[in-house]
Amino acid sequence: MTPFVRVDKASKRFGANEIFRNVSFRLEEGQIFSVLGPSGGGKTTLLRCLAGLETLSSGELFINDENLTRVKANVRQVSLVFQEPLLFPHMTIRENVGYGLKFLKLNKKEKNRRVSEFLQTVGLSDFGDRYPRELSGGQKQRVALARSLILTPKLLLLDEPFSSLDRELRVEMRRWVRLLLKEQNITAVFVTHDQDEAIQMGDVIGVFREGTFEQIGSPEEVYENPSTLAIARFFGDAWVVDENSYIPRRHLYLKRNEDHAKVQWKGDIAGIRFIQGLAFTEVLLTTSERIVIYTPEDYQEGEKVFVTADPSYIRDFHRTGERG
Amino acid sequence: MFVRRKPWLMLTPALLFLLLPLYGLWSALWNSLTPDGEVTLRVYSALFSNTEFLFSFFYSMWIALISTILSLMIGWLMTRFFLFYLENTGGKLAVWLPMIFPHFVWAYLILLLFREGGVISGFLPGDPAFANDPQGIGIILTYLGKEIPFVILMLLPVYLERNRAYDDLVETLGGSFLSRIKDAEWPFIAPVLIETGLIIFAFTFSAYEVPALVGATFPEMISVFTYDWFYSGDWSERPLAFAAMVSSSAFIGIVAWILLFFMNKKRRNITEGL
Repeated sequence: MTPFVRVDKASKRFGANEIFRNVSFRLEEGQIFSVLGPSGGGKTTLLRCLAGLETLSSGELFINDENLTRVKANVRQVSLVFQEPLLFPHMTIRENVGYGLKFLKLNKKEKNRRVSEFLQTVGLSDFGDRYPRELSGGQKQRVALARSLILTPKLLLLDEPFSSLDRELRVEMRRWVRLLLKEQNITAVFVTHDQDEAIQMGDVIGVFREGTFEQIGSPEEVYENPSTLAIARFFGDAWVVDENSYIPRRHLYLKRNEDHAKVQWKGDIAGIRFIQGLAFTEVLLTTSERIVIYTPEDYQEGEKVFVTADPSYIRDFHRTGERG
Repeated sequence: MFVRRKPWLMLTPALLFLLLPLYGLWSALWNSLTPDGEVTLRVYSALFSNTEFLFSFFYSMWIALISTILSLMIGWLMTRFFLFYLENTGGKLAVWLPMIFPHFVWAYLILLLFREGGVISGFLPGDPAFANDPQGIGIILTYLGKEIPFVILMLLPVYLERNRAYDDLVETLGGSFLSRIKDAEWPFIAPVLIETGLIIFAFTFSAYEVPALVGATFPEMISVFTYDWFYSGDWSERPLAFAAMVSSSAFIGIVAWILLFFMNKKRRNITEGL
């Protein structure tokens, strides 16, 4: 089966400045692809190239076997949802949602029907005649999403669309948007610098660093088997043993005694934290690194402990299986 | 208490400053209503049945309207298409330079270049005169020279601060270059453009020096016409001059009120909806 979206060896330069290189990925129809990477790493430029706002310096983009590499943004069936909602402030919510339909040859009745349908889809049926200034941040972003979805794009691009929302709303919006995209069977590329967001939103995660994908895989794969030291550090959930190996953090536990059969790091209890009702212990290691570990036992602040793991859990980067 | 009084305190200079023109307007109104010591509308009915005045009034309106619309259009096109050059210091200086010349200096320049046998018109076939001409081209040229840079300077900050992501948005939603101008630019610049146009219209409608220098003997713009009445030997024409001034001010006031009334709601949507 040929993939629905195919990006082959894409690269982008502005003069001598290389933004990204050798970017390739494939998506099935209806799949959500989270592109995870630090800010300023070229993710936004990648999206702009996919949307057609910038041209690729080399490489190709195929959607449904159609080569879109040279197709202009305003005829490409790709929609982009920006970081800010960017609603037209002088238009009502209805007019905003229906904006892109103006450029399609549809009769008025059909346009009205679609606008009503999508207002309902994003739960804002009662807000049609209001103006953007009367809406909250989350509602505005929902309108922006409806405005893109109403065009039934073959590929929807989302550029950190929740970054302007507060934390609680952000978590709620992730759940809601993912559900909506799945309901509508939309193929989407979702860019974020937040690993929780990437995992929550994506069927596939691509870790994008220094202008290329370092690893592409399911959230579990990337989380459990980071392919490089940098990815392990970036996720922060793998305990890096040395530059070649790591231990998934859930295999770490605390011990009061030294144990030569295990790998251990010495440290002091620096504090206890409660997260979602569970006790986590913060340990300050002698290497002056800090680590937070879930522990059911009671420890006192200042107590000497050993962060311990079974050597069999040590894994190498670039390798999947466990040692031994 | 201090906080409550503060806005008034801060408005005091502006209010004091307003006292002068308000007093002038009131005094003109009073003089035009009481030509013989008693309140009467006689002067106004005389004024509005005076064909010379009416002709001058509409002539001024025409010249002001043309000057305003051309300034806005050219100023907007220049800002829009040369934004890249206007952003840097050199570009800003080039726009500022015409701003520092007074209007009458600009008018002299037009006179030198475009009168009969002038530096430019002398080279044109037929040696046409574009200064002191009855069509008012000299006046319009002077105003264009001064007001286009003004329009650019008013629009420049709007264009620099405008969120350019709207251009991309329109494009990804299927819009063309024209829809980008219509939906991503126009709504944001329109309030400033209309306000600027209002300032230019009010000024060009009633300013004296430019039509006095490069205008024709006939027809005259309202300011020159009124001035002649005011300083003619015949004192009986003074109330007419006052009535003409009051009428011009009232006309500008009404135009401003109508435009601002329609702009305000739109502006509120734009400034609070971002």
